[in-house]
Amino acid sequence: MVIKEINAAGGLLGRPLELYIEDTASNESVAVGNVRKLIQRDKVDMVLGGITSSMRNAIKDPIVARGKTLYIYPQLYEGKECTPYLFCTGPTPAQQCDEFIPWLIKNGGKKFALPSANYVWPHTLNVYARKVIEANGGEVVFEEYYPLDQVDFSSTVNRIISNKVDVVFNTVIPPGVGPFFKQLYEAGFLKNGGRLACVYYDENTLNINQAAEIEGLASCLDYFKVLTKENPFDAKIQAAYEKDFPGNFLFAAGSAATGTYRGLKLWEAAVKEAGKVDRDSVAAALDHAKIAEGPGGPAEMVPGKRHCKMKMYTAVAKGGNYEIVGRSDGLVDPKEC
Amino acid sequence: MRSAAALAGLAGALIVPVFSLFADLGIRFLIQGFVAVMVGGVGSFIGPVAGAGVIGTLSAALPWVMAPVVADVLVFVLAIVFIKFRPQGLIAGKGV
Repeated sequence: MVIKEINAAGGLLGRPLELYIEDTASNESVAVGNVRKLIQRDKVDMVLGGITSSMRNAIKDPIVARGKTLYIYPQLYEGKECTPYLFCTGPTPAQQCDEFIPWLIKNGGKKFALPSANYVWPHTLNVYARKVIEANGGEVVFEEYYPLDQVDFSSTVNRIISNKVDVVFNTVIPPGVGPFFKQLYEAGFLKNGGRLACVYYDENTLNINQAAEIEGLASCLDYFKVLTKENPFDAKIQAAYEKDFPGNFLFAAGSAATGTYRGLKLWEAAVKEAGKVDRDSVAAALDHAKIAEGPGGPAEMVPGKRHCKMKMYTAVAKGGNYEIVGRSDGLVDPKEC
Repeated sequence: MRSAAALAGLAGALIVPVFSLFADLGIRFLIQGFVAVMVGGVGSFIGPVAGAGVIGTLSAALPWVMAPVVADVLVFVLAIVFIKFRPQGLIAGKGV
């Protein structure tokens, strides 16, 4: 959609953009092959993609080191990615936790449980989240990791209920998260006043569970669809996306859509400033690129850090839709590198 | 053969309401089912049932007492050790 818009406006540096899409089948080995093909055969100027941190870690070397190409990573993640020529345009733990966790303590309670998927993002995010929780007077009752294909969470649910946990700060990812929330709901967690919190939960994941099973779930992202009611620019992007891609894959912030938009527009601004497409010139310009309009608000790269400042919103799921309950005062610093 | 297929269908119908439906839902159970048959013993009806009882109980109960990632691996380690010392399984059948 973004490439189409740029090309319709005359392209970049007077030339049209060519988009090469590769399907990694969520498999890191396939992705490395795809990336090598893009760089060696198609000779792309920039690679944008990867969702899970394990995917990013698998493809960053083939792109940035051996491939000598620019890499933009568009998804929320655990931070600590300071590889040169790798720019991150999704939220970091500082952006997702610093204002969100105090809100959770005020609107949920002090006892936190951290059920997590067993891979790098939850492990690193939990270290940061624990720090913020304890700094705000909260308590981490337990922190546990599950295999990615686990679907039976009876021991976890039991531990949450019997320890009277107030807030479940969840980092279990699909496919386990659907059964997990369902089993928690059936054990009466929400009925007893518990609060679910999940920082990657967006409009796409809302559909995994029944609305009652995730009632009151809180999330903190850079964009929610409900913002289209108040921001004309958000309404424009959302409408353009829904016209081009009607169906079940929604334009949502937890699914890297906003990071992708931001990444492409920041790259466009950087290439225009550099006047050339070679990696070093574009990277130097991208280092301090800004866009005045983006999903959720403007965005700015923090010079020297290769991470992006953006506005953050806290929202709560009510009856299957999000309601905004908190907004950042301005652009939030990613505090990375 | 037909009753086997019918039982498989019944198992699927019982699993979905508890675990929510998604494309790879069967893989975890496929692996556990295979181990259950190895541990229980082929050649009889009651063998795999006993094996399923043991494997199911172990994989549900162990996460209550240790880290779930460790429990996941331990079930397989225990099954392998058991089969090493009793290759015919829990209830030896007439052979396949």
